Amino acid sequence: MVFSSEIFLFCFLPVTILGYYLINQRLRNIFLLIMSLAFYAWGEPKFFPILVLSIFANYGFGLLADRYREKSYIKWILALMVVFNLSIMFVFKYLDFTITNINRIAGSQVLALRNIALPIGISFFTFQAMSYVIDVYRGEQVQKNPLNVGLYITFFPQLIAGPIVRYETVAREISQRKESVHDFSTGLQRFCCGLAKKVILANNLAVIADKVFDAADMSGYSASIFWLGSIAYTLQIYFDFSGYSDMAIGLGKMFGFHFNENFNYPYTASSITDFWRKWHISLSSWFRDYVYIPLGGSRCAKWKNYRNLACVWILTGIWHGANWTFILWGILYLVLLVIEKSTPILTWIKKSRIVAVVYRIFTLLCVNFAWVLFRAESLSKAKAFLVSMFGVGNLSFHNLLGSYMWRDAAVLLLVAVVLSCPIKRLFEKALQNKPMAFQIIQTVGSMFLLILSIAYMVRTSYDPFIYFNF
Amino acid sequence: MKERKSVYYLQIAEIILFVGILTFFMAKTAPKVLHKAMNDYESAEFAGWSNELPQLQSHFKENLVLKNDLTDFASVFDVAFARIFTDNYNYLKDTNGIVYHLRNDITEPEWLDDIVRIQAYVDENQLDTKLVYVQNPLRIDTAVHYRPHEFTNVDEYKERAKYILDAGGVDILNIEGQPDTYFITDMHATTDAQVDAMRQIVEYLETQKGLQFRYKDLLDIQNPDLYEKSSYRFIGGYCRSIGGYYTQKDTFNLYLPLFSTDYVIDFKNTGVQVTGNFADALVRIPEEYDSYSYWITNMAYYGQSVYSIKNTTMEGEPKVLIIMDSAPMTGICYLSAICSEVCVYDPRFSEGDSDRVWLKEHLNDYDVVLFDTLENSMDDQNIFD
Repeated sequence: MVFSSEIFLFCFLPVTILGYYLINQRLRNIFLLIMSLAFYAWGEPKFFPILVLSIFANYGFGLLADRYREKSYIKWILALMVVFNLSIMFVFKYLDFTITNINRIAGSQVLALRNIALPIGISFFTFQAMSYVIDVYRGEQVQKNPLNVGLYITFFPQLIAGPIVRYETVAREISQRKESVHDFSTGLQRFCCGLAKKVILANNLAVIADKVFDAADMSGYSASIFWLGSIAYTLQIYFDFSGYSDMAIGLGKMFGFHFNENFNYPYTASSITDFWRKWHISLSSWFRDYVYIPLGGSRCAKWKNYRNLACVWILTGIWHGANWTFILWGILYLVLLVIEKSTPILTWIKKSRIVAVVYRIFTLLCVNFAWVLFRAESLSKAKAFLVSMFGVGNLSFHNLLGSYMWRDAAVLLLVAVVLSCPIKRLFEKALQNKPMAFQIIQTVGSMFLLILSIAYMVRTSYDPFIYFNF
Repeated sequence: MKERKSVYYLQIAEIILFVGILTFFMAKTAPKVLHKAMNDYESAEFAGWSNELPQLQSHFKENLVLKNDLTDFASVFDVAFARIFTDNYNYLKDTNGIVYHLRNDITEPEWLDDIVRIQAYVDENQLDTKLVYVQNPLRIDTAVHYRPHEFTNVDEYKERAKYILDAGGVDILNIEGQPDTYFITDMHATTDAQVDAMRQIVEYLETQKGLQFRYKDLLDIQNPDLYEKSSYRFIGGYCRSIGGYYTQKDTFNLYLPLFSTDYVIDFKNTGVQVTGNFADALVRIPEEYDSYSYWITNMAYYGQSVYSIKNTTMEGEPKVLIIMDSAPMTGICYLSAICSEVCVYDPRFSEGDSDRVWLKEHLNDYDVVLFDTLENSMDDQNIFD
């Protein structure tokens, strides 16, 4: 079940909201847990046992981490927890990839592929589960009630596509949260905004991007069309994922939970370093706090620092998918970040406006090219796409089809580019002393976006969620 | 303080509105979905509830209350976004708002070879029936100003068809079109254009094939003494998923004969028979209709492979077999008003060999066999045994 589906919006959500607020307060966590499990089971009935296994196993690990926190063998318990969780991920997500590469190295089919289907959201809920145990070890209050652990891991707003909610963020709210009219109101506004980003912007950008990336016959394409495809995808993935995060954060708020932000207008980043402070913040901070810093972070010898960065960025690439394109995508960012760390560029951009502007454009270009790698099905297709962007191989730079496609996409791209900038902050600043006017605009705007999103939803069957598959 | 209270009440109103909207859609749509789910459960194809879940999703989408109004609302924003390609690049809108279906995948059609084989069979066996391939005007040649030849190869298909059929000795009748031959939002020709095409076919058959249609003047649909006209706003197939404000809405003209008609329609594969006059037997006017009613399939019978329309008031008039897709569905209704029989064979709904055998056996029962389709919708049809 996806948030932008009729069955979620007009069946699951009203039932959950009404049920939650009509039920006895003591039963609310159980109710949310049941609804979250139903949410997952609807889309993935055969993987439901995996989720339940994860809940109970990590509940047990949490109890052990809390009880034996001071013992010398606590690290073995944590290691076992990590191995358990990552093993599940490995089997479902990386086994066939590993087998394929072993066979490639061996030059023959030494191992048979298992063709195991990927449970939706496995990367998210696995990392979330590990976060629970690690945060308990680090001193957060353990949950004695397995149902609360279950709720933390499976809470439907962030179950299948994040944000990765750290246990420390919601530990107190699981047991003691206070719902409010203000939170519900701001939550639903956030939800409507996220739904509009996804359904109106991301889905329409996806049609353009897929037309270019997935075309069976590109012989009529010019270089400008490849640029169009890459720009459309760059914007698509932002609105798709940030829209989903907005919906998740908004839904959480409706039930009294406060998740951290996952995006902060990443395409306004001043550098690659800055980009990764603004993009998928929950993932980058997860790797920072659970991998980079425990390895020593930057407070160690330079070579160790680079080693730590390499671990994080290769893992980040692998986390995204079982394909060399993702690993290379992670390595690309590793190289760019190492360059930024080992050169004075970040100092120069603070000192010179011209350098800052040029470097901002360079950052955007690097991000754009990296998304081509991310989107392509294989390294060879990524290479073919990237060289086509520069007109290599008898491609014209622009042709008639390109004109039509750019003309078709122009307004949508313009709107998307503008909305990827923090214009909402200008509006909030302008109305900060007029709360009533602000609320009226928010209310009218949210309802308008909700109706428009429903209108776009009902007429199309095209609704991919990119990060769904992670 | 007062303002804070006002904000609070407004937030409550907002919450009520949000939950109210969601609950409204749920209350209005869920019963229909449940009904469909029970129908699926009781059908022989039911394969378990886990397999049924995706079906429930699509039932929800198809039966959502206010779906047509919402679709129209969304189309306003497609105009605001200045979209010209729609439906995953299947359609292109030109500067006049006319929508084109882009077909880049036109391949060598089997059925043109079958037409040549039918001609050979007719020649070998010296059958009396006459074969005519009706080349409908290309949409891109009829609409004014904008011709996206660059994005479709339908004119290449037309050239190839001519080459194959000429080589096989099949006669080709090129129908002359007008700028407004085709609907703006649909692949089919308008009622007026289809009847005009029938008029051209009748004229050709009379002058070139020696047939005589004594009542061909009854094709004058503009004559108010012969026909009663009614018009209906119509969103065609190109725009049904985009919305009614993406471009102009079309108008479907329905002409009901004021003169006497009496039909007996027999469906070969089901054995069903329908009788009545033109309005009763050939037209289905929906009780409640809006601009999303698909008028093309309200005329004649879509989805049937072989059926014959006998007009008992036209005994002795020509008998026509027409092998077709939906292109002349409206036109054949009016052709049947001046023929003793119009038999329809739509190979897309063929139930296998029996229809092909039937065709071979009954070819010579008809004075003329027409082949009438849109561009290349029959490209993989094997129609002759």
